[in-house]
Amino acid sequence: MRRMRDLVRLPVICQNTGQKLGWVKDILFDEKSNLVTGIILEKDSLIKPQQRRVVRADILSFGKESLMADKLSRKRCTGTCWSEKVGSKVYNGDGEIKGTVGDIFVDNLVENVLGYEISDGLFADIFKGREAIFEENILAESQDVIVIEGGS
Amino acid sequence: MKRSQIRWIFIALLVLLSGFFLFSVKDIISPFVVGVVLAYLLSPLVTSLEKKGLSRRSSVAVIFIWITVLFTLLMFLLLPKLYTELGKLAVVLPERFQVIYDYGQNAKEYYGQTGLPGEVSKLIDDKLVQGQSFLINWLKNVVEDLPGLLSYIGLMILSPILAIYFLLDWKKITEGVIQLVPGKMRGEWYRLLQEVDFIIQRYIQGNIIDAALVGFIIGFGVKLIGMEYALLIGVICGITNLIPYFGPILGGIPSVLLALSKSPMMAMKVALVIFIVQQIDGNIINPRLMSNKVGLHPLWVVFALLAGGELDGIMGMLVAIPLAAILKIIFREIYYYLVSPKVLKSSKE
Repeated sequence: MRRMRDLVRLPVICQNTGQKLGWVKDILFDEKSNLVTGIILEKDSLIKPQQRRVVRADILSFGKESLMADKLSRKRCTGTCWSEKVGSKVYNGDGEIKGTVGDIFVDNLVENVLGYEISDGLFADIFKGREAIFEENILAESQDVIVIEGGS
Repeated sequence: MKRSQIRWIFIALLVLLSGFFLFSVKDIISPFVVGVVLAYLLSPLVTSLEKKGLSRRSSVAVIFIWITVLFTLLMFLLLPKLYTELGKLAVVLPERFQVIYDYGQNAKEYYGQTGLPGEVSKLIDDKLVQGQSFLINWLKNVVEDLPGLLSYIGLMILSPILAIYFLLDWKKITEGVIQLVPGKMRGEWYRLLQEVDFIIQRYIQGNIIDAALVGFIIGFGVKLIGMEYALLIGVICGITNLIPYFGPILGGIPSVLLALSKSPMMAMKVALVIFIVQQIDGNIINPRLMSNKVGLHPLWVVFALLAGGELDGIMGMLVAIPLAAILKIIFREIYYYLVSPKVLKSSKE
């Protein structure tokens, strides 16, 4: 299991040429199917960084230090951004706020979304650590809110 | 004694002795530090030449020849002009100061007639005397420190030569540093260093281009309105523009004072040129060049700048933002390591 945060800022390298294609700016996923749909690739430039969406299928591997890609296709890539989801409120079944989304867990191949890291604020996180919730414990999910099982 | 204990004693002794030795020779370390910084800044250029088919040695040679030519051209073309402007300024400065002083005196007399309280007038006089003695002390210190400064400059001449050696073996050096970290943690360290590198390179590149553009446009603008010392004003505004938020003010004040010595109207015009260029920079040039390059909230940027200024003056302000960005990355990584759920830690093991 991996955190999406650990993938952001990794360089994307072309496997055939060894050329650096850019950096991972964000990760896209589909909230309904819980599938990673692609990444937002940022190509550094002196004037203004250029961004483009790259579909998951074009990425051959997600290593610890870099991502390997093949020829980048022009396929349309949609989905929610990791950076937009982070900060969404998490409620339990009784309507109490359990915290906010701190990060998103994916499997080692970065294909499926497994769950979320829940933050309860700076001090609570440091003293108790963050909690993890998995897709099977989620009752309802929208762009800004996640409702999980359990109550007081 | 167990072998593991001997290992720890050896490491502790090594760290202590290295620390003691480096502290004893601290005066000669600065050229090495500057050499490393130069090598770090030039490394992307060398790598880009390598990609075009040149060997590492040839790439380093090309870059240094290019820098030497550029520096020589700068010395031959710009320096005489700048020197002439400064020479002219040194001749006319006392009389220009007199003009500014007369403005002050006229204002004082005017307010004196309209009823400026005696204490306020005395306070202004006291502050002027304080300012005068501050300037005299500063000049005295500069003259006293001159021999030390000259030997320091002599030592600094070593830096580019050291930078060449660092650049030739840059890959080996960086890989060696990463190899110091245990294999288990190497991937995370590598990622952290990559991110730090990414931010510093982008910040420095963006800032230097921005400062050069702003300096050039202001210099050109004040030349157009007929102000002397356009080159000097351009250089001052360009260099101070390296400091975000406060730089334009730091560069604007001496430029406007310089223009005030000619006429209040010229001061207004120069202030207007600087204001317009700063607006263009703030709204068009800077956002394009620096768009979220360091990943710091503007409030943190202002705080870091003030803290840098408090700790080490202008130099502190210059390095405050990249340093704050690096500290943010390091603390963030430690924080995420500490708070990560047990389930993630166990899945990594």
